Amino acid sequence: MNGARYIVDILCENGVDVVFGYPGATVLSIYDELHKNKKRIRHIRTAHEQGAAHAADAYARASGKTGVVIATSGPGATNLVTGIANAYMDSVPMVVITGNVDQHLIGTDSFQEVDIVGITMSVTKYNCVVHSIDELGHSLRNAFIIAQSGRKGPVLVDVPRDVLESCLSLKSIKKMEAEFDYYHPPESREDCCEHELDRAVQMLTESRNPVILVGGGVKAHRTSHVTDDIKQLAKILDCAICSSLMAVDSIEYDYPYYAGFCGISGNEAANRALDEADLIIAIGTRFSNRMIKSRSEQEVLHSGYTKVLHIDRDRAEINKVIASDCFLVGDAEQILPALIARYREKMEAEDITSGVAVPAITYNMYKRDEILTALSEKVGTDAYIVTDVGNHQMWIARNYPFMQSGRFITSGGLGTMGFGLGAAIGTVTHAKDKPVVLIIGDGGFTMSCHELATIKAYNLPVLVIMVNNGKLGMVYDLQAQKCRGRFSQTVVKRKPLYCNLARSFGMKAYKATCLETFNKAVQQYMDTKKATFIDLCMDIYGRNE
Amino acid sequence: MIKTISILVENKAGMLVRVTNLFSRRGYNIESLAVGITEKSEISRITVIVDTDERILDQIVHQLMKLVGVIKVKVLDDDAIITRELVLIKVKADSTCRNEIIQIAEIFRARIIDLCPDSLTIELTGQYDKTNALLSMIEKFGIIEVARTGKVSLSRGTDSINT
Ligand SMILES: Cc1ncc(C[n+]2csc(CCOP(=O)(O)OP(=O)(O)O)c2C)c(N)n1
Ligand SMILES: [Mg+2]
Repeated sequence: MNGARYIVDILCENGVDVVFGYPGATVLSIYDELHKNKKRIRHIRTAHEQGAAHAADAYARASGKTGVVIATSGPGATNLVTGIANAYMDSVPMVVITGNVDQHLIGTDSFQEVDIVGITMSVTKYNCVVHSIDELGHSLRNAFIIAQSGRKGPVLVDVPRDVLESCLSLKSIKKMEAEFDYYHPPESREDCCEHELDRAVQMLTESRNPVILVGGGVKAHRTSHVTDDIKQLAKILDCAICSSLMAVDSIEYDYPYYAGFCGISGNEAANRALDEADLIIAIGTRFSNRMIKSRSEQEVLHSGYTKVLHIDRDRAEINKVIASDCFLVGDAEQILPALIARYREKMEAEDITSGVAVPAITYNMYKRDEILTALSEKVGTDAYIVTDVGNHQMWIARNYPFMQSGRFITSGGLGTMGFGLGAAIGTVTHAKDKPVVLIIGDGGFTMSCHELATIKAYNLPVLVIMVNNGKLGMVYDLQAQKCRGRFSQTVVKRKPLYCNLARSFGMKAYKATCLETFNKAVQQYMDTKKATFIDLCMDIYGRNE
Repeated sequence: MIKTISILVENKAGMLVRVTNLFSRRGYNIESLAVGITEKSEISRITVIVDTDERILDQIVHQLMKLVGVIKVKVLDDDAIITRELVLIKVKADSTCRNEIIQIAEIFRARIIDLCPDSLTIELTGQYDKTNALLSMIEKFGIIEVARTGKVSLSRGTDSINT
């Protein structure tokens, strides 16, 4: 057996049934083995490595499993970098396998040689070069463990061609398996102690106007325990729940305590709730500078009026951006029940009743959006909603009626235009018969429309809705504010025929200029479950808050 | 404030890069850095000295803890710490000033480890101030080159990073 075959075996052993990637000379042997092992692992070849990386990333977000992407050395590897950084910023578990040149050529600036480990060091949770076939098993197995442990993230394993092609005896495989030493995540070294729990409860009892702020971390588990506990906590404290962009879908849009997501483009109600709170109970969030909306809010947070109770899996997130008054490090799945139980005990001991079924004031100010209501009614609560980056993304985050956690797939931390199409491909690979809807801007679509070829090649049933506003809307708006209307390079001159483009890739394409034509097109998609493109020429502004 | 951080890492290729990359990427300044193997050959100790505040120090420790391959991180207690640095100084010295330089070196408990007609090399082990003091005393003779190891530290008494 050679190294390439061993990689395929280890992928299977880790429950991988689909990988994304693009072939090349250094990974020839991997592709040969993938060909021979078609029945065990499905491979999706995208049009560009970046698309493959986003696909693996979104596949992981949708499934909870580890996304796997393969690329060749040099340009193949560098094309992955944006995708890796995107997964890193949003803590998505991913294993990246790159080929590299033969070891004797490394360091000589040989053809298609780059130091991908050096390049990706600061955007991976871990990365390494496999120097000998005897290290391969250890490195790749641990890559899966590291990607999924504690706070998740991408891991890159770079394998020189000669390692992939060298032979392994059964004896050395046995030896590798026997000697495998598991990676132990350092997070487990620190866990929350009793004393801190008491202080947290004390803060809850002292607060007169708390707010719960949930981040992407609460979606790390596939179960609903964490969100159930969060909803319960809101009831007990009678307080609003706000989310970060990453966690918009973690609570049902119509839950009476849910005020939506905070930040520069967030919901009014959520921003107000955060502004007015005297205690922020932050769960699995890293206080992105986009989320802490205004300067005044930062000042409030630092003035000491607003206290912060920070619950996170990653100890390094504590006090990184916002100083907390108390923190609990660990998994919210364990911490929240303990916190709630302790709070209840205390309340009962002091003979105070806690918990209200109906909130004292209206926290939920959700405003219906005509287009998105129509869309959600047609595609149902099961549908995955994927976005690209720009105004359309914020429109979805603010106004889409999400009913299930994990159904919103978006690029949060890196804000990567060009994420959407690759991500939709990864999502649909997992979603099987559930609808997958991509909402993308005309800018982002143009940046990545080559991936329509992948949709065609694999007959992937996605609904692509392109918001055709003729501009790079989000930046255009910034220029309107900050550049006195000097719109530099943000207006689309001489638009292409988007529908024709989509049709040439075998998609059904419709131009929607009113709700009626839009509805018809969506219905077509639901009826046929075939790749469909909608050129949405309706004004989405003025519709949202 | 000046703080000394002791980091135990797996003695593997690339570990030092990972650690220094973290410092540069997050904008933490390194005042001094030294690395070498420990009592166990598979483990290295990196001693980093930083000038920072309480909050960043806490960040540095916990960001370091997240690196795969980092085994232990400890901020050493300033009141119970021994720190040394080894310095080699090559200074111009002919017969007219050689004795004077040797005398100065003796006062600093430094040793002369190499000698030739036109120069000599001094080896000094000590703390930062001592090194600087010696350097300023012999500057006038003409310093040819200086090599410093960076500071290494251990806690006093039987305490160790492992306790
Ligand atoms: C790769 C990349 N380049 C540039 C940007 C900066 N940027 C953020 S939003 C945006 C405009 C996006 O335009 P479009 O895709 O048409 O979406 P709209 O805002 O119009 O809905 C730009 C250029 C980015 N986020 N990502
Ligand atoms: Mg646009």
